[in-house]
Amino acid sequence: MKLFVHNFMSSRFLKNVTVGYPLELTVKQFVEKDIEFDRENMIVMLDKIQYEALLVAAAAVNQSDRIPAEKPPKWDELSDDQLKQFHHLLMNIDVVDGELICPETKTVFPIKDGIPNMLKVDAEK
Amino acid sequence: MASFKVKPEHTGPPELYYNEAEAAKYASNSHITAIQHEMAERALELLALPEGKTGFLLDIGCGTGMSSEVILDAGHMFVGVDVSRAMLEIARQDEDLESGDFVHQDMGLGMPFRPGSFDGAISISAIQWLCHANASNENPRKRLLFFFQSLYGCLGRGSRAVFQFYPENDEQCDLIMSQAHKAGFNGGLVVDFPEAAKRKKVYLVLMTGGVVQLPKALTEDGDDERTQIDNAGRRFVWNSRKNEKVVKGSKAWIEAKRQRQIKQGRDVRHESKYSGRKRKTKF
Repeated sequence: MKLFVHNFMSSRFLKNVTVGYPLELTVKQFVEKDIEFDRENMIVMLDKIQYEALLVAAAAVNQSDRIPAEKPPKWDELSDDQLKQFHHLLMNIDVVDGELICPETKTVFPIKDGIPNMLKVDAEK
Repeated sequence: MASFKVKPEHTGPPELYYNEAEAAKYASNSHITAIQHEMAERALELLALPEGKTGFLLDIGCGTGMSSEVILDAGHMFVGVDVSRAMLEIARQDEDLESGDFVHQDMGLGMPFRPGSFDGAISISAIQWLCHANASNENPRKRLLFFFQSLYGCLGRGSRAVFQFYPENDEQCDLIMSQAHKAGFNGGLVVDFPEAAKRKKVYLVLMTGGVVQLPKALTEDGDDERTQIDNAGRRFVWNSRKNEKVVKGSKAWIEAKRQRQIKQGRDVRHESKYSGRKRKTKF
């Protein structure tokens, strides 16, 4: 699971969860891929990103130093090099093994072989 | 898929049907690939995304990622959701799909995304799986509604969701559409090539916010001179039953009751112009 997906995921679909965002992320293992950088696409994605949740994800892979602690005011003013840092964090880091945890119900969703499994709750119900 | 004698959704739950063997078969069958590709392209066209802008799309029931590939080719980004792990594992190994990502989830349990995440959603041959219960605690009606509600939530305002599916019968269409409508979507069916049995393709086009006219369906000759009826497909109908039922106490109702009782051999009054008339108010 790439880190950008974490930014969009929420556990609101569970019963009795009102916000369910951001999900807590624990990472046991991740790999770094090399995905082509595209400035336009990156800006489109960053426009949608919730910065606080991104910081959570960056901390989970110990790479908080890649990005500023405060959200930059305008994405298209950033240089390619700065955007590439974001690109690396969002697209290149692929969590292979870990867990997503609902902040309210503490339901655990395992990430195995890079695919987060959101089905788990079904068995517990 | 229309050529299958038994529809696969009748055999059992999707996560069991699409096991490793079936998933591998599915991914390597060139006929399926070609059709899926074509349908995904059409679905993307029906999404009517603003031109020249990259969109962030949701691919529901992405399977091995054939439709996701179309999304990438068109220059958009995607996240795929599927209930079959075997299919997702194949999709993840595909190097062409590297820039997207996949989530393992059952549609009926809801879309696990935060509000306003996506610019649109497409789904190729997936939603019919939701119309069947595979466990005693599953209610297709509820699952459909919950699915549409959660989808409505995670789409941005003014965006669309396009579902290609093979409807079994009218009831199934009605069920899917009434649940979509309940969840707040506008829209209806676009039927491409309605006259051709094999080429006929049904797309459910759902829109968030605002009533917009449905896109035109494709026909054999590709001309625009189609009749309104074909294009409109079936839209959500309000109170369609109201017209059928006769108001109790009305003249038609009395006459129907009289006829019924004659049939039963009962003793009834003769037909009269006075029956069912309102009495004068008392002096």
